[in-house]
Amino acid sequence: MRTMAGRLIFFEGKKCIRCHSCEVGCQLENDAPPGVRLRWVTSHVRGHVPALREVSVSTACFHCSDPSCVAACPAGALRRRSDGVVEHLRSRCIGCGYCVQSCPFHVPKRSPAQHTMRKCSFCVQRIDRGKEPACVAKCPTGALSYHPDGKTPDAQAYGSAEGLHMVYALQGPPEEYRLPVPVPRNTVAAGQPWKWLGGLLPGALVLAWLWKRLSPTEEGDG
Amino acid sequence: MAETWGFPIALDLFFAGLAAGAFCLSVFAGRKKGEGFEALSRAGAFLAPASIVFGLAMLTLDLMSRERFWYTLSVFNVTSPMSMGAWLLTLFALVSVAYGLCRLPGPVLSRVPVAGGAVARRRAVCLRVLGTAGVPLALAVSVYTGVLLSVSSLPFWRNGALPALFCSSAMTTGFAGGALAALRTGAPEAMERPLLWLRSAYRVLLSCCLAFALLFTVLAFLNTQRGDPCRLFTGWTGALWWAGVVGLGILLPLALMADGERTGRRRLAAAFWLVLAGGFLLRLVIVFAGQA
Repeated sequence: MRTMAGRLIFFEGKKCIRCHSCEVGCQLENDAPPGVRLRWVTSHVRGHVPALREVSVSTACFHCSDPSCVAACPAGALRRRSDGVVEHLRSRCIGCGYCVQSCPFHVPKRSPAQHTMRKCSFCVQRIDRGKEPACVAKCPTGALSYHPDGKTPDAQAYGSAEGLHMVYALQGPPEEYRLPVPVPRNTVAAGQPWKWLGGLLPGALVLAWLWKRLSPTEEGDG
Repeated sequence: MAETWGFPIALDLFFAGLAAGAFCLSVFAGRKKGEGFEALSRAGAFLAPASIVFGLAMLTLDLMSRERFWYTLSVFNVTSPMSMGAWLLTLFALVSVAYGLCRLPGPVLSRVPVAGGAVARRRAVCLRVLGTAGVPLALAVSVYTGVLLSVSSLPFWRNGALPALFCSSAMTTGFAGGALAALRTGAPEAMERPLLWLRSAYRVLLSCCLAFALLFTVLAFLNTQRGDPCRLFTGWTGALWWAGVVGLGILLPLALMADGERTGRRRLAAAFWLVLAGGFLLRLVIVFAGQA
């Protein structure tokens, strides 16, 4: 058993029956408008004919330990709490969509009806009162379980080693569930200084050349 | 998949770059004596604030909560290119508006409330101070548009050549916009020397633009995941990239400016229009191809 700082939702693939109860519970609890899903169940076919098998995964925000969305947000609408939950403050969200473009898991969704971005909130309104998240509470088979102490039942689970707060015990390689491999880190911060430098340096050199070409004493114009 | 960002963002990226280039043109041309350079400098000084204000308006238009746009100025998130960009755009807008005001004719400037008279008396000093502060800001604004996209999670945008490509395109479009405005206002004979200088500058600027566009293409091809076609070679984005951005926006203007000792005004004006069109198509292709 692996222990990490903060709360954890654990998904156990073999127990999922694709009933979508987690989705419904999440939508109702979190006032999500139609068409904007904060948690979704996807099914994937594995194997070859005739031995085909359908597997499914319940996905929402992974609450990364070093979240790209928090690094990207220009309005202070996203923050990482000490318990690992990546909280979205809707009253501060300007709906710019940069977190949507920055999340390596493509989790945040724009909600035109609510004029903000929406994503899984880890049901902070429930967990702060000692309850479990709505998706976990509605799961009839225990495929989703809540671990406020951060203890992962399966140390090999997808995302466990990388400090995600939503981890997956899958029935096959993560690629078959369309989960990115390796588990992505903060894409916004990675290499950003080099990208600034890669633009500023050639730009400054060209401008310096133009500046010299246009010095008041320069005679040649053509 | 529906695009998260659409036309307003493409317009914002284009006009932010245009403003940055026009400002640099104004400051650089202001160093030379002569009526033509003066017309060029004045055109850039007025084009920069108009473009940056329009770009900011487009950026605000794209927000889902437009009334909260000012929240970006209540936060300084150094890891967020959009946060840095919001500050850079705001500072650059303030500097370029002040710089544009300083370029107003003397009698008009002295009637500007609060400090118009004082600025009119010290116009040269004000222009030098604002120009010195504005050029680094303009450079940063032109680069930010590329960094903004290149750190996202979308593989097509995660391209190290994007900041340099957007920066070089910003300079070419800004110079073209300023030059076109100056061609309308400046006396034909006075514009001869500035046009010759612009032609030599464009040989370098467009060559840089071409080099970064090709580097971007190579990196985009290498970044392409297996089974996913590179969008610079397929569909409408591929057609626009090669025919519009590279062909009409870079190669044709380069050819129009390359031959002969002196170049006709109409020929140069056509080249400037093509550069502007190519610059806009560049942003359009990249914004939409990245989200396809």
